[in-house]
Amino acid sequence: MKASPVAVIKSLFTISDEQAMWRVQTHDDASAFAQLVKRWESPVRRLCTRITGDEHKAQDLTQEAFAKLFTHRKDYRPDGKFSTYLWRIALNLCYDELRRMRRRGESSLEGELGEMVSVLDTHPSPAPGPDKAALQQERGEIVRQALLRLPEPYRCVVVLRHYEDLKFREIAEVLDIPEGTVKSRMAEALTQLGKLLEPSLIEGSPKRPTHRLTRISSRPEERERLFV
Amino acid sequence: MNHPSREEWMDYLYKEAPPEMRATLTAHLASCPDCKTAVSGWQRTMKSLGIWRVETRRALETGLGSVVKWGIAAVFLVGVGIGFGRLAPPTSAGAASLRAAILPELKQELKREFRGDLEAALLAQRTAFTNEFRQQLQSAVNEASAKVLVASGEATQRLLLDFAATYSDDAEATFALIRKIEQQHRADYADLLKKVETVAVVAEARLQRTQSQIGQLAAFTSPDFQ
Repeated sequence: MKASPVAVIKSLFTISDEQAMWRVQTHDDASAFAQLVKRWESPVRRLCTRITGDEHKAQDLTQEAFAKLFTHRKDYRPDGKFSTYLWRIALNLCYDELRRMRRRGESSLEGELGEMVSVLDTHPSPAPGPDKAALQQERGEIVRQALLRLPEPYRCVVVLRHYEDLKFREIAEVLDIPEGTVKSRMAEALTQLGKLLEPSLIEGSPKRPTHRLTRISSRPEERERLFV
Repeated sequence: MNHPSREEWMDYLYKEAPPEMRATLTAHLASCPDCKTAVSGWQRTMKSLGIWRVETRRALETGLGSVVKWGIAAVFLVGVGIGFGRLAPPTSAGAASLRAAILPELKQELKREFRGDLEAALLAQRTAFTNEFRQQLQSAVNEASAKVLVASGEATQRLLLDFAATYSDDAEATFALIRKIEQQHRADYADLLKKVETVAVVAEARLQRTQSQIGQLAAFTSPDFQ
């Protein structure tokens, strides 16, 4: 990928994330930290939203992630990539939040399951309606629900690869697992998502007469199988 | 038929496969209906995932905010322009000539100021980068020298230990040799002593015999003498 001349010139006059973090670490540089927040606030919030499925919680988690980043600034190792460090912090906070939600018996899916099923049943093949924006929102909601039904390890890989555009190698680094495992999880996640989305969203897929939403097993090994 | 693995297909779908592998997979896809079905299914799912968009609220807010700000600025500028135009005296030939005289000088002045600002900004940026680079270099050098010191200390200690071990082995061998030589000396001495004693005994016996023979000779008288 070739960077544009403007981006190259801009990069000459801006410090990298690692340099900014180094300044924060050694000089408690507030302006450098503000730069990091400005650059990474949106990606972190998007990640938290897609992992937890809740925009308001994601907002809190984002703030918490940056607070934690500053509190643990001395733990950052300058030889590592800043983004990897930040993704790890954000993901750990998301996992903690999901655990808390499970303990409280709270879930982004609770109370919406019936609605979701009815949406899927009433719109097996949605045609463009009069209100396109509303339909788009509805379809986005179906995708959100399907993604939330995936077990966390799969959801995490999908969010990082598909939405945040990290390479498989980078995801392996963030999650501290082999690259092959990341790819096999991605394949399994796409397969499961396909089954969930097929009847309602995916065009050109074989239609099923009825559709039942089932929670997928959270143990990856149960579903790890080779494609032959 | 050997099918590519799911991991390879993921590389293919997310454009991370190297060109040769991509060509192989594309060729396989053209000839294998099973793989084609699976890959098409994944592609459809990938497409549908794009439907869920997370609103970039901040961008929206800042976008709206900037539109409002620019709107206010535009209105203000237009107002100032109209007011200035109304209050200003009508233009004359003198004003036009004055403007023509002032304009190049003003342009030069602005250019100079702009260049000065730009140079100052570049200089400040360069100084900042130099300082930062120097600090990073210093810390890297410190770290490297600390590592070298630790490594050399460890190597010296290892050499000393090796030397001590070798030296103790050598000393033990020398002592064993000395002990052996000493034992040999003692044995030789004992043997020599024994031999000397034997010689002495034999010499003693011979001496006594000689003495007795001398005595006999002295006592002997020839019949011719008598």
